[in-house]
Amino acid sequence: MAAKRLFLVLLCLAMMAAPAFGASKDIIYASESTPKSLDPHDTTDTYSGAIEKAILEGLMGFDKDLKVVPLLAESYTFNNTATEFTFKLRKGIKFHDGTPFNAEAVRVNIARLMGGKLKRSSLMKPVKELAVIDDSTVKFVLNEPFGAFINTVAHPGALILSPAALTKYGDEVSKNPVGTGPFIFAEWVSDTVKIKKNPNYWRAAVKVDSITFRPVPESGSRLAMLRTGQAQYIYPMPAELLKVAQADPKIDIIERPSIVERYLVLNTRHAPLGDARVRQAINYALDKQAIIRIAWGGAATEADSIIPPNLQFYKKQSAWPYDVAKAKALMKEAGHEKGFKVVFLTPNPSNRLRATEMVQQQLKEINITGEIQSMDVASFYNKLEAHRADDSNQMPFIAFGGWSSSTGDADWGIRPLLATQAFPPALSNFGFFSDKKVDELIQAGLVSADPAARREAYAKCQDAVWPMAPWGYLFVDTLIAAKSKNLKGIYPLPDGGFSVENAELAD
Amino acid sequence: MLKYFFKRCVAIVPVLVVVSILACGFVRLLPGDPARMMAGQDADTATIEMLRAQLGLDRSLPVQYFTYMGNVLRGDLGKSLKTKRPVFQEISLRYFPTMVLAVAGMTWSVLFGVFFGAVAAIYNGKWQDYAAMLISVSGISMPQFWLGLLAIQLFAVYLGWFPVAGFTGKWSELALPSFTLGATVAAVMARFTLSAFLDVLSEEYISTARAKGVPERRVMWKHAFRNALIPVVTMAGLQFGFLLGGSVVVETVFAWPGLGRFMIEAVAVRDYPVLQALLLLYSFHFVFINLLVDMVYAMINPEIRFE
Repeated sequence: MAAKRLFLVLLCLAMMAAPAFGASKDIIYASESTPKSLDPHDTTDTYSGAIEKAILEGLMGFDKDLKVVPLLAESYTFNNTATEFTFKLRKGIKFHDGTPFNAEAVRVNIARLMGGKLKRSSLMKPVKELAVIDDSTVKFVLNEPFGAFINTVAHPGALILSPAALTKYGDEVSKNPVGTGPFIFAEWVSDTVKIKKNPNYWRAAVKVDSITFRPVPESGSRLAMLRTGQAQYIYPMPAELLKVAQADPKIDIIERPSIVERYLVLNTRHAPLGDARVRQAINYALDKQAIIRIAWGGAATEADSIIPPNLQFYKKQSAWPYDVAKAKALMKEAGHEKGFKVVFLTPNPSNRLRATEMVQQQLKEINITGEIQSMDVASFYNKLEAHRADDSNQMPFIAFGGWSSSTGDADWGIRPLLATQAFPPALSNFGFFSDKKVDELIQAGLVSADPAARREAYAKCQDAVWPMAPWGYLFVDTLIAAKSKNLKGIYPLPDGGFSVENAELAD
Repeated sequence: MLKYFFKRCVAIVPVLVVVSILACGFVRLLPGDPARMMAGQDADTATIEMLRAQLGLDRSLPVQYFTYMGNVLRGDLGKSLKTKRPVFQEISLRYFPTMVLAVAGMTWSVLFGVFFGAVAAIYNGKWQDYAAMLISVSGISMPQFWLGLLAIQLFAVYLGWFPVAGFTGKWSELALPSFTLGATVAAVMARFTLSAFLDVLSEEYISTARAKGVPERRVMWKHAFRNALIPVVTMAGLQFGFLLGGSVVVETVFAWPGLGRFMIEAVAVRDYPVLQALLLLYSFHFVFINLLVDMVYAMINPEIRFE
């Protein structure tokens, strides 16, 4: 026994001999997600895309409010019919491997996307050809008018990789990204990605030496890492632990509106839900504030249009007040005073399940009743996508949906969800909402690249859709991140990504 | 004995073949389409179809199975659908952290579990018994998740003795997760040791030994303890098999880059090649550990012989 005890004591001592953390300009970012790829043309998740944006840059980019700004392009022009977009490129920029950024580099990247073999190839579907005018000018020629094209070029899926790296690594570039960005890819081991300072960055000097992105799936552990200084930035900061974090003098909380809108998909092909009055009744019967407070920990704001405020061309609509009496009156008018049965579908993460349970309780007030079917995310979308518009015996369902328009533009916030052409399996109009006028307005937003004309089309579109209540409108998520006080210049972006190029660490 | 060992090793192969068929079928029984999950929520049909063809998911199930097994026999476990990296490489990267954690957790649990169990048995009915069992019942009842978070709060946030989470190769990072992992298993081991010990103590050869005047200490350690260890070793082997699969809860709480979390992430996106390889690996663990356990029996009790 004595030997065993001695062994135990030694073991404990060995374990306690933790090396001290030295002061340096290295940042650890503790995230919930794990990276999937660092090949921008083959990435669909926001987290991988955000890391790529620290290493790579596109012709255009987004600022911290998701407004499109020129990046590797100096300026751009387009024709009246929104079929030709010409970009003047910045001169003298070099990739991390020393090769120059120029029109040829753009051509190689766009040709790779247009090859059609990658997950983001669909971005370039509208493009007929890319013409290299001279060493610093490129022109995209489109098949048909596509007014949202500037946002496509700003999308993380259109980031520019070094052509030399593409030749060297082929598809293995997903583990060896080489770009023009503020940080150089250092290593990717297991789930952890490390990037280091680009000393020759063409814009402002980078002020930190390295950033390590480490997945920490459990939110309590993430906060604990921040509190002990083992991480300097955590996202997402769990809403239920806000009080603990706020009480800690070493921590700053950052809250920003996202572009993630949550709504209830109403199956408009099913008789009662096909009646606009019933759908309006549902919107009056939902106590959005209670759902935000209880299911979402207060980290959301009530939706006030079919797209979130941070999307380009958003127009605020009047709210649907919580008014059960009015909801009942509408149900009566529609001849459904006695109500009907539905199935509630929801993905199973606990906040979504809780929100659906509250919806279920609230709709019981107007006699819409039914069981909840919760399932993991993969099964949930599988189920919604299996429905077809012409099924004769479709299930009357209400599903907890969510959407984040990664282009930052109204088009991708509306068309995939509400256009007639977007019925599954093509895109994500899971409730089969179809309206001729709305389809026309969606199209009107695309035939010109002129912001004023597009603004007008999308304003009309939002005005038209909102009262028809294709969805049970819920809320727009608020992003919450937390960082240590001595870290500055790093913040979450509305799409759930982040910006680190201005990161600065005080001593 | 060596011959027996190799014979048993060869017998593992048919087990793995059956497992491979089951694994291939089961992962495809899960609802949800990997191509859809890879393509992302806002993908169009063309992208999903293109991926499905690329991943070979448009082919019939038997074709997929035989292609897969053909590759496995050539030593190619395929590529992860999620990261497009070789599955072998992905699993190797995570095998070491899980192994380290399992060995450390197992060490704690055997030391503490057997000790508490033996104490409870020797002092059956006395205060030492109650104390030991109170500790072990608490260990079983306390969810790992909760225990882990408490340990983080106390030892990392307030006392600052250990890092909170993550594994970058430092020993200090192993303390909290292995303790958390070991606590639950230690409790199971303690209960098991206690009952095995008590069973043995009621055997006639113990009474005989006592009757012929063998000192109590010798009765306990020489006669009872050795024999009580046999079921305990079986249990330890079984538990170790589970631990080698990676504890999902502990790896999640402590951001441990191991197999358990990897498995859960693979399930979430329906990463078929990864899931199939992991199921094969887990089955191999169990069959192999069973074999080792049988070997250990012989060391504890020379009367056990192999045919």
